[in-house]
Amino acid sequence: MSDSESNYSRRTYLKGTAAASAGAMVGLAGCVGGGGGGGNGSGGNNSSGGGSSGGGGELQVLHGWTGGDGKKAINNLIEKFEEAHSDVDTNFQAIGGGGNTNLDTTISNRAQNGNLPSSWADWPGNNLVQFTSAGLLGDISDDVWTKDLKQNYTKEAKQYSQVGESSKSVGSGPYVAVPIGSHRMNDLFYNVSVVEEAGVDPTSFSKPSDLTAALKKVEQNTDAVGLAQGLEAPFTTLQLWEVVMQGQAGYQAFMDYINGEGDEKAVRKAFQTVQNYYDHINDDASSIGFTQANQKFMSGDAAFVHNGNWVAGSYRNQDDFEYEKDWNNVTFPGTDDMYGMHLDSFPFPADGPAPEAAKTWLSYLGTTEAQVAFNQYKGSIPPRTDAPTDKFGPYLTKTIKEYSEVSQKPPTIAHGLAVLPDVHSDIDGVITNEFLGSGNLDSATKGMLDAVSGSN
Amino acid sequence: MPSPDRTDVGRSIRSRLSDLRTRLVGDTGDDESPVRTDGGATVSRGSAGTGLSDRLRSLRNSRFVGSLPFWLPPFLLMGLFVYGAIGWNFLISLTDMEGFGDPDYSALDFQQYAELFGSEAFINAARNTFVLLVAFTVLCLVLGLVLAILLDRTLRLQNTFRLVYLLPFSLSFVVTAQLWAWMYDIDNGIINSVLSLGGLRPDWIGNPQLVLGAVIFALVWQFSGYAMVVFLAGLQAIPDEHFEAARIDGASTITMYWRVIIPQLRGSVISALVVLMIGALKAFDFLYALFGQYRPAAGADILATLMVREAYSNQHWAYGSAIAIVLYVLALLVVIPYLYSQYRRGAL
Repeated sequence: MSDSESNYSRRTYLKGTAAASAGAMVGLAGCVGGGGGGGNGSGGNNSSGGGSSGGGGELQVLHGWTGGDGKKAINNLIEKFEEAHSDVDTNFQAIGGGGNTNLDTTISNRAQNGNLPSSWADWPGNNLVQFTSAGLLGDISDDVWTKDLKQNYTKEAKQYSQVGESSKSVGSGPYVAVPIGSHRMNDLFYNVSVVEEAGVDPTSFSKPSDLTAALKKVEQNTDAVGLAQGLEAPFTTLQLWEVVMQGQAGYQAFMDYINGEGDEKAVRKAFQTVQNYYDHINDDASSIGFTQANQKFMSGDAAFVHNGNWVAGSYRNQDDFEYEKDWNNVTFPGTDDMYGMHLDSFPFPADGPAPEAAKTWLSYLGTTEAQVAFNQYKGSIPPRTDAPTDKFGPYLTKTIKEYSEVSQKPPTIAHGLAVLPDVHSDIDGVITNEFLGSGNLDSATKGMLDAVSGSN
Repeated sequence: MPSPDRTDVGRSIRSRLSDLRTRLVGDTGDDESPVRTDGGATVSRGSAGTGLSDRLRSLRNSRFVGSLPFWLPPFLLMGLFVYGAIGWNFLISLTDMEGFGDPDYSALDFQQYAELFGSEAFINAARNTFVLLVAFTVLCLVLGLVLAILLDRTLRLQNTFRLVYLLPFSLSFVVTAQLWAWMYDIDNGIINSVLSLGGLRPDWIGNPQLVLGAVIFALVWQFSGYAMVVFLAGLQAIPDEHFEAARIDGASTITMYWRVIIPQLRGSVISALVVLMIGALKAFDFLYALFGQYRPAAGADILATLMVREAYSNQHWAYGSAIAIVLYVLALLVVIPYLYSQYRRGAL
């Protein structure tokens, strides 16, 4: 057989193959078009570990606490649960990495494939609308939210657990989740020795711009930087912008912004203040995360740090770093009468595996025992008002007390309570590209307002 | 081993192969061969009533049918799992699928694409992807070629150098991304430690003007070794006579490479080009490992990260699918000219 002949025949086959492939594509497209929903399941499902193969009675719970105080807290909670309910067959899976990126992706894939676990850790409020709008969450208003829970949970915890099919119905929909703990978003932490060396008195701050002056003074008088910050993810900047906005423009202006009626001047001014702060942060901020920034704060390389009060959990695990002696906190300037609201919760899926076991788990989360077991290590406060505080240490006890005293509790945007996930994602994009990227306050302000304009 | 033995073995293999061919293809040149050479005459061979069995027989004897068992199973698998998935993805991109649940296939339009081309984030990511693609590929090719030429000139420790340059290619993106994250560290990174001698202290990751360049540099570091190996193989396939002839004609080293040697590396350039460009389109892994999330720092967003973010963080499935199709078309634009040139040269 000569070469040219072999080429000829190979090409003939290629043509045949191409024709057949076109035919197959058309055929397949036809199948899909007609088959509709029957074709589920071929997407990139990474149901890690293959735990879903377990029997119908196995409680499967996914969470993202793979290290530090979060891991300690969830493990303590799981241990207590298994003691109390030894008859329940359990399968807890921790999916860490990228903040909650990997957990969220797993949940998103499994929700798409109609294969949600029995429960998982997620933010309640608007964050859950993505599931409720597709009918993926079940109503636990009676089975889990008993009279006891409804009486003893805080108003806000109840509000963000009641999620209907749209953003408007948050607070009026059926109960679909059980909150386990709440972090405070408007604490400003300071390193006592650095602040003393700089001659700054944080308790004297009354408005966000007072902090700018203090940061300058710290850098003039000490070797430390003013504010420790990690900018790897946009949420650290977003949550700082939120408290500045609350501190400068007040609670109502912040709520107006969330509801799509934000005041352009107030939004811009909050950005301006954050930009002023960012003249006094660590040089490597853009390439580190918040945990590394927090390390700088603990080691005395920075005077202040702002974050959710989960950072306080890491101070307790640090040797020779005592509350009031080495670190202390004030409410963020201008937000004295507020508690920046954050919640961690466990939702209940409509068609998850082992629904009875899931309800047992969620009911257990609603007990004071569970909330003490979890929150004392997590550094958050129990959403039940009647939880005993003796295990919580002075800082958290003070936080619990202040929770009941303050008059306003603005929900967090950065942690899902306040806005829908796609609005949140747009805001993250504005923070990353416009504010942190180009540094253009005009486009950042416009982007922030555009992002919420469609909401509510 | 004595040689007659070997030819015997060779012959018997050949005869068995031709046997096999006879059975598969039925093309043996015996009494049935007129079927091929004289179509008109064969009709008389069978009576009119056996038309069906005749057709069956010719079907059985056709090369196409005979070859089916060899290519059909892999073809069907590929067709379903690769091209079927692409087709389905395209279909989803025509719907308005968002959130959880099943897509609605009843109203198909190109709305997602219209939104896409009007979106600043998309334009931005597409521009970054394009810059990454071109800069990365060109730099890799040039660097790979220079390294290959240097190594091709008889050099001491040639093999060692080859290994040194190729090693980064064997590392995974996750490892190299972490490595470069440390290299680029503004305070403790080795790059700034050196630059600080000259009083410079750039923020490689945080500055949107620099970050894409930093990513490209890291990728070039990883992939230029691959380009080098491809070029080295190409160079070593060029007969020594060409070098000698050029020398005798008085060409300088530079002229010799520029006029005689490099033009002969066309095949190497093309195959390296395709692999590198596809690699650039898939730089997602590197960015994800470098930033630890789907959202890279400002200035480093590419289509692949945008696609994953839209689909998996926002559940904008149709929109993400549309981005995926754009990415697929880009990859096709890279591959088709290559396939076409191979086809024209008879290599396909």
